[in-house]
Amino acid sequence: MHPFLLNGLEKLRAQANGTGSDRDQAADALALLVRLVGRTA
Amino acid sequence: MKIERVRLKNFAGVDEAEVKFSLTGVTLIHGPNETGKSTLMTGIDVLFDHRDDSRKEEVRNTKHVNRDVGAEVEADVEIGTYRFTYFKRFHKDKETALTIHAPKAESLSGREAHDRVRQILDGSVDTGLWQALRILQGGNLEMPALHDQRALSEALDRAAGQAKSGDKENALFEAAYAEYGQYYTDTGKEKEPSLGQARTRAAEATAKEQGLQSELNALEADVTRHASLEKSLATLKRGLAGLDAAQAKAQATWDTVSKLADGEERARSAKQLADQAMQTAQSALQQRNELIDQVAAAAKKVQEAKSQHDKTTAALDSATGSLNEARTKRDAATATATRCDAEESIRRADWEFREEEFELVRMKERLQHVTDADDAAAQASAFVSTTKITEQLRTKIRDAEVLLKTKQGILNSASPQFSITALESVSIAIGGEPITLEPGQARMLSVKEPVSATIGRVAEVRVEPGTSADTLRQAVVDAENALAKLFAQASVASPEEAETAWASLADAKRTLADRDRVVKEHLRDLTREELAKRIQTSKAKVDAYEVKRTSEIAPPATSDECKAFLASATTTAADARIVQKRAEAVFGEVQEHHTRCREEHARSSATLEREQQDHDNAVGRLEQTRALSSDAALVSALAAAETSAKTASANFTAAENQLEGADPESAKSMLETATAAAKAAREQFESQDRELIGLRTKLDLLGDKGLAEALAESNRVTFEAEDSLARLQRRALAAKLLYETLSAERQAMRRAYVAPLRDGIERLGRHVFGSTFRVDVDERLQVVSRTVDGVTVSVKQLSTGAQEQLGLLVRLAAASMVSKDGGVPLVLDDALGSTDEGRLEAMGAVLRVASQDTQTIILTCVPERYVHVGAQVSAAMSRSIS
Repeated sequence: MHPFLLNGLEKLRAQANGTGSDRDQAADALALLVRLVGRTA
Repeated sequence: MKIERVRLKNFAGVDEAEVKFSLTGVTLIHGPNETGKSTLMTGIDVLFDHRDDSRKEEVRNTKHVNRDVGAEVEADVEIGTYRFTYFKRFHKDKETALTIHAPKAESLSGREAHDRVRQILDGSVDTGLWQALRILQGGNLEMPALHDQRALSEALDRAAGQAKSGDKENALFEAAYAEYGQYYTDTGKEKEPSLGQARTRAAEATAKEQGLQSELNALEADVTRHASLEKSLATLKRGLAGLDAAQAKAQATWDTVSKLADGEERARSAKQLADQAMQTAQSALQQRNELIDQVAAAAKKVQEAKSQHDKTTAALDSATGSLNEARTKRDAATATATRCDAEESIRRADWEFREEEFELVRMKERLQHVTDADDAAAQASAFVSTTKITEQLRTKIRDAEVLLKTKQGILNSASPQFSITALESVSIAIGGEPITLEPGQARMLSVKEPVSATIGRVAEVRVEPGTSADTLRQAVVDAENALAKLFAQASVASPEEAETAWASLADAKRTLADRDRVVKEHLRDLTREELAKRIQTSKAKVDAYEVKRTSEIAPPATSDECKAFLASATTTAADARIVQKRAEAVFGEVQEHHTRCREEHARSSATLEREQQDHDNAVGRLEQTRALSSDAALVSALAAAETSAKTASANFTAAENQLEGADPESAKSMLETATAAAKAAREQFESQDRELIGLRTKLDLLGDKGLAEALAESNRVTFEAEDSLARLQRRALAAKLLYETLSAERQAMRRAYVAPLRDGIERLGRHVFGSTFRVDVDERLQVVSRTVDGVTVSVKQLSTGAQEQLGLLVRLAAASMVSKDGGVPLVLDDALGSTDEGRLEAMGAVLRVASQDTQTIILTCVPERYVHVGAQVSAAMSRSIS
């Protein structure tokens, strides 16, 4: 996976595991990324 | 890829040409226009890109312009580990030949050779970059299209320390963008068809639910109000009957009071009529008395006006007398002043006449002086012209006279002397001249010539001078002759006459010299004619005055007497004028007083007339009214009216007492209170009854509508809409976060990706634009702007020369980056045409530095432009079109 994808993935994962108000939104974005990876595979 | 050699034969406009290139550094191909420089590159392109049997336009254009022969192109090329010679002939005797020298010798021909070269090229050469890095004629300002150039992208990826993103990553990013695009526009706004519609649906459902809830709440309030109204209406109905009875009773009381009030009103009217009749009678009598008073007052005023009129008449008569007296005095003073003025005028004229007369005499004298001077000058001039004496002649005469006297003196002194002394009185004749000597008297004689002396009758003595005396005598004669000659020249007879003539000549000259002075002194600024004319004019005045003067008194004989008479007359005239002015002032004051008296008299006359008229009018009015009604009749009418008024007043007082006893205010108040209470209760009853009917109708209608069921359904719809919106928003926000996160990371990576190219451009550009030179390169590897000394300018705004230089810098930087992988040649055809001399030197240095590992081919018709480059190979091409 290209570094820009890896960096994006790490950033979203950190937000989802954090305590900020955007953690649910980050979790949703991660789930969407997984769906898109599956769709484009 | 590197090109070692190219040969063209019968190719387009070139008969035959061969050029060898340096594998690194700059090869400069120069020559005039149309010598085939650009055709070299065309030949390489056609050689690599087209088969020998191709009919494409690019190939058709290679046909020789004059000969019907095959166009040939051959090149020695190095690509990676490959080194080969490649040949093609187009159009006629078509042929393709490939000879591979390394790494392994091969010989191929025809299509097989073409495909083999394409295979080598596709595996090792980025042909897109090869085309992009060229600068063609007229294309100096274009920035190279470097994006998606494989070799450059790989070089940049390696420089950025990572692999270039592949199709899979791009597809994933595109999918994230597509997901984001379902909900948002590129500018980040929500899209209406998805989120907007869901939000609208939820809002509409909520609004509908709130409306239904409001309706239900209102219904419940209406039910409560209906029950309350029914109870209130029953109470109001019972109270209305009692209020109606109380109102009827109060009305009866008020009717009785109303009748008493009518009687009181009638008595009041009768009283008012009687009062008015009495006032009328009083008024008539009062008016009569006032008229009588007015007549008396008018008579008094007439008397006063008459008295005043008499006074003003007397004053006017007095003022008229004073005015006549003052006028007489004024007229007398005026006549005296006029007479004195006339005498002063005569005395002044006399004085001026004598002055003129005196001036006339003086002018005549002046003219006479002038005439005399002219006459004397004429005589002197005649004398000067006739006289022969001159100063020299006068001096000669004087000298001759002195000489003569000297000679005579010498003669006298040298002559014998003898003396005769008388002893007694004796008569002696010496030289015939008788003389008488008294005793003791002596006479001395000098003998210059023989002389005889007869002494009485006594003796004759003869004396003769000696011989020397003759000589001296002759000298005297000569001197006398000389003097006589001079006398003849001067027309004089003696020295005295000569002196007199000389003095007369001097006088004549003085007279001539004095003439101008005398003329100027007496004529002054006039000419003789003007002076004469003045004399004539003056004489005419004098003569005319004597004729004109009519006064019986003769004019004084002298000017001084005239002046004295004039002074006396002037004083007398001034005094007379003062007296006249005083008389005028007195007359003015008296006249003013007379005018005032006349005005007063006129006013008093008018006043008397007006007062008399007023009196007559008042008397007339009084007589008219007395004719209608006498004074006694008016007194009787007033007494009768006073009696009637007293009776009516008594009747009114009685009716008033009766009404007051019935208490009308209380009766009225009771009636109004009862009426208002009944009316208010009835209105309240009717209002509540109408409200009750309305509520009953409304409740009947709403009872059939099923509001509670509708509200329950609306609650469900609202919940579903809001839930749908929340889920959609969550998906949208997730897509937004994902896209924005990936996009940010991708941007950061791309910035790192373009950094090596940007650094390369800036490193080279500092040679040209200085140490502050910076460029901004976008993701498509396009230079967006240039910054120098902190000033940033977009590429499109740069000058033509700067754009040209920047375009070359970008190509050089890109070529340097790919040179380690073999790279591609950098071809510059007629570049830097808009660059000045200073920048050309800098660009030459940049080309030299950047081409150390790169093959750079410069084609130009102006080789001087690249003198600073230091080309490895320089080849000239001459015109070869046959």
